[in-house]
Amino acid sequence: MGAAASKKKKLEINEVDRAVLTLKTQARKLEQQRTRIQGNVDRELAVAKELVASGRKERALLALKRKKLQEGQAARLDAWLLNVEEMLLNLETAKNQQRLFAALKEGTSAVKEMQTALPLEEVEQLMQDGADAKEYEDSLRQMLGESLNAEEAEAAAEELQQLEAQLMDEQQLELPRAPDAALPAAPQAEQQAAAGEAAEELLAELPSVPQTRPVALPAGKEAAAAEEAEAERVLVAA
Amino acid sequence: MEGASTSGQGRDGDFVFPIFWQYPPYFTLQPVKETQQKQRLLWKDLILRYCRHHRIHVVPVTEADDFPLFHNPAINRRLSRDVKLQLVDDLVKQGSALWFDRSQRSALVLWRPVAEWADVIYGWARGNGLEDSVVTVEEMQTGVMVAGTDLEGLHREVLVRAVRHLEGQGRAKLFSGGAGDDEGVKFFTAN
Repeated sequence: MGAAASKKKKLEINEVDRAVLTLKTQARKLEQQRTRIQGNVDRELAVAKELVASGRKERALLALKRKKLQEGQAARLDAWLLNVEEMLLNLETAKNQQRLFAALKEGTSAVKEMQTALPLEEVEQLMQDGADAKEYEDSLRQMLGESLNAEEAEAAAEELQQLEAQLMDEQQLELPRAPDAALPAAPQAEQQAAAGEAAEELLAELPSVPQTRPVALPAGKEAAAAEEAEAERVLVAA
Repeated sequence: MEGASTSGQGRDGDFVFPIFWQYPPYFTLQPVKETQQKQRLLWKDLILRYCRHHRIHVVPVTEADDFPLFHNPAINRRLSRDVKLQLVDDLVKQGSALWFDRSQRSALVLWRPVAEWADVIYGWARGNGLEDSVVTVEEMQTGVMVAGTDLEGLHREVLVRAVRHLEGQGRAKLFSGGAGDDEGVKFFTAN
């Protein structure tokens, strides 16, 4: 990433940079005008004060009117200046967004690139190759093993038999000890669980009956009543 | 500027003049070669120190008493234009000053080498987060961001030279926008 950036760098000035420069120039000129206007405002005020002091009211009023005019211009300049500054900020924001987007894009493409460098088929192929190699090795070992260990295999089978016999002996020895373990607790829990299960089954079956066959009332009435009674009994029992 | 701030007995503001500045002979070039060489060396050093202290970038080289350093009213001695010319030319020869034009009536004194100024400027730009941003040359001289820094009031010529130095290093570029626009400098991230 860093290498790519430095390779591309050629100290280029783009349109945005020029726009920023123009705006900044404008801002400076506006600021200059603003200073000048402020000077005018201050001067008119001083003149007006002097005129009032010397009793020349009309002239003083004129001076104050001129001051008002200048003040209006000053306010306008301030507004423009604010506009220019806002524009500069907007440019900055847009630039940042662009940079951020470019960075994100670069990141995404890097991820993609790394993913394409590792295609699924190849991984599959790799796993398959691994399995094939293992299979080959197994069969190879089997073949070699058979050819080499004919006698040893027999010996191994014999040893297996011995081990099995030994295990049987040990199991027989251990058998009588089993009843010592705590037995009484198990049956109760099992019974309870079984009873609960049976009740649940019954409950689950019951409600569906009245809903499915509303028409066959006269014939099934007794049966339904019987079932209801049974259900009640079960519920009470549960 | 004519005969502006005259200095007192060896002080100018908080700048203390060296003792030789109080001796009349130092205001005329000495005929003995070795003595003159020593004298010119002292003056060269003094001019640079004085300019650095007062952050002066342009030294006038005229007949007038327009530069306090070249005129000591206490002993009623002043450097002639020829001597001024000689002394400043010594600076120019060692690369610490530049003649503005052929008339040699003023010179730009580089009490900090251009390369050093370039580093100062770039350091300032970094410190203000200006990499990849545009500033006007004007802003770098008088803007709010340089107030109180070494860059404040830097002579345009020095500034431009320093920026060109940065340009050579790929760290900044001087450019001008449309007609009537100020000059701008764009800073780049150093690699």
